[in-house]
Amino acid sequence: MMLMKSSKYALALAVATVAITPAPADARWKLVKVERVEAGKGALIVTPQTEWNRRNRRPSKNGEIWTKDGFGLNQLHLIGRVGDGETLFKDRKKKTRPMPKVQSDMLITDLAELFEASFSIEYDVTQFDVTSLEPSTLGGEDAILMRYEYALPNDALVRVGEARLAWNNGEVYLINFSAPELHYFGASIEEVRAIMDSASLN
Amino acid sequence: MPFLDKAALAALCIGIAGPALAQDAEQPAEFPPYSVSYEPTDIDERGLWQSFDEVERRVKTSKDLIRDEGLNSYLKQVLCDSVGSDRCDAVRIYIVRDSSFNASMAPNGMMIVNSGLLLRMRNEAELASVLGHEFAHFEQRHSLRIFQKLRGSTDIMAVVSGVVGVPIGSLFLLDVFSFNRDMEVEADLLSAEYLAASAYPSQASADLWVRMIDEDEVRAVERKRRSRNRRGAWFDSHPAPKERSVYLAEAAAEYADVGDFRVGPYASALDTHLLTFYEDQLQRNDFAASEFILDEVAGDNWRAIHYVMEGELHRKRGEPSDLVTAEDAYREAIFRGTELPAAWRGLGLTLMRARRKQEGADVLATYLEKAPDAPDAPMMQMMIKGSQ
Repeated sequence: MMLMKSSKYALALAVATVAITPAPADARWKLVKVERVEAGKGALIVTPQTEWNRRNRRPSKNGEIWTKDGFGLNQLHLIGRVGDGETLFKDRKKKTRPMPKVQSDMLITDLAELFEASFSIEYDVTQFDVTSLEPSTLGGEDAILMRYEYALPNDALVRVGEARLAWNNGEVYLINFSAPELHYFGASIEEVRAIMDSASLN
Repeated sequence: MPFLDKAALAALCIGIAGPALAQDAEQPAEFPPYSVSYEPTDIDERGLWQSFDEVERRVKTSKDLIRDEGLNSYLKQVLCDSVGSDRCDAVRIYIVRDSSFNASMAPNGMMIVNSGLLLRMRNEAELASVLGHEFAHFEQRHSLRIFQKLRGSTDIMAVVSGVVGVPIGSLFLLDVFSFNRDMEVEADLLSAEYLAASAYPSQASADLWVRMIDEDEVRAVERKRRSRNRRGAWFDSHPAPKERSVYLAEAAAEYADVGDFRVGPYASALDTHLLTFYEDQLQRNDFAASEFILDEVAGDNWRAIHYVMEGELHRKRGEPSDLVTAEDAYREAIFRGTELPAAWRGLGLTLMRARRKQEGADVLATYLEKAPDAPDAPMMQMMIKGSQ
């Protein structure tokens, strides 16, 4: 409702259309092959079992997002080397929706809440519910495994996600997978867990 | 779009609210005459109504819809009490879990109220003023007026079909028909008129907008930006909150009505959802505004749940001084007899972060006794073991 009346119906249609489009037309993509690859400028080393698509635009300084069918249907975040005072995702909307910052004394459970707020701000999530929090590992470090459900504005789909976050040398590392519960989450989660299990943190 | 000047506002006051002004405070005003809800007349209008029916069908299945029967029937009752029982049956209210302060009204009678709006209300009268405002858009057929105007200049049905045809974008249709400033003023003043005729005081409308100004100002200071409330930049299509608070206060002064704000019933109705709604607000990383909201909601009647909320507010920001405040708040909530497991969870994690691990582990153990099936139980067990 912040729109000017003369253009609001056109913009509403445009926004609605963008909402189901994988990415803007100018997005550049690179194929991620089935081999050991460095992600996030080498912050993480992972081995996918199938091909993915990596968007060139980074979600954070040392991070990347992969997808198979478009971000609306599946997205895999690989983010690392987030130090004290830095944000998990780029702080693009500082004046309106600032991102929470990493604090070096955070408990591992605080990382889950950090991710919850950061993810909600990045994707305008209206409802984020943690369904489980368990101890786990990521790159050989103690990690928190978080499963969650979330909702996007005006979206009837049940969306779910699974993330692991860990401290490594005073920096935060994250691998997160989120997708609609219907078909897409189940179709890739086993591979994603294997990627999480075998990841190395640098 | 220019501001309405005072003369225009005064004319609108007379046009909309004139007949009921200056009532004897002992003699409540009557509700304005009501004509039954509008029925679409031609094929385009019927198409528009059907499009909104389709949007409504999707809202009903939306994941973020709050289906709590008690809360839903409470809102309906407040609407009926504020606009009159002959009017309210034309409207269906849907409560959506969304922490932003918003509500919207469709021409087919679908009203959407965000949880972020409910979180910010201090009493039933303020809720009544918002519901009355949205209902006024419906009664004055504002969407229809926009539709009729757009129909003359564009193939609006193509736009409507396009938006509704996009599965994820259905609610954007409400943006297509967002109301203009004159309509917002009209709805504000009609809402004040409803309140003056109801058991609620019309002053509640102005109170609400004064608070929205204050909330944005504390947020602006924290984010080192200018406040949006004094000027119209806040919403192109809405009067600035400052302007709203002034003309609504003037209308309330003219009505000079008395009424019951009903603070207690509102708090009771919202109680089971309050912490969840507040946690959603905390996800916005909006500390100053969240602190302001809590202060306003708790007012001079801080209860145990408000101390839990205060603990969450400070623990989640996590600066060194916050840990002290959070610990005190959780302990106060427990002292006051809260049964919310979040109090023990929050206190335990706060103590652990303050490097008092054994104390924290003991408190977390109590949390697990109170919430053995909590979704984070495995993680908390690990935290307890790790401290030994």
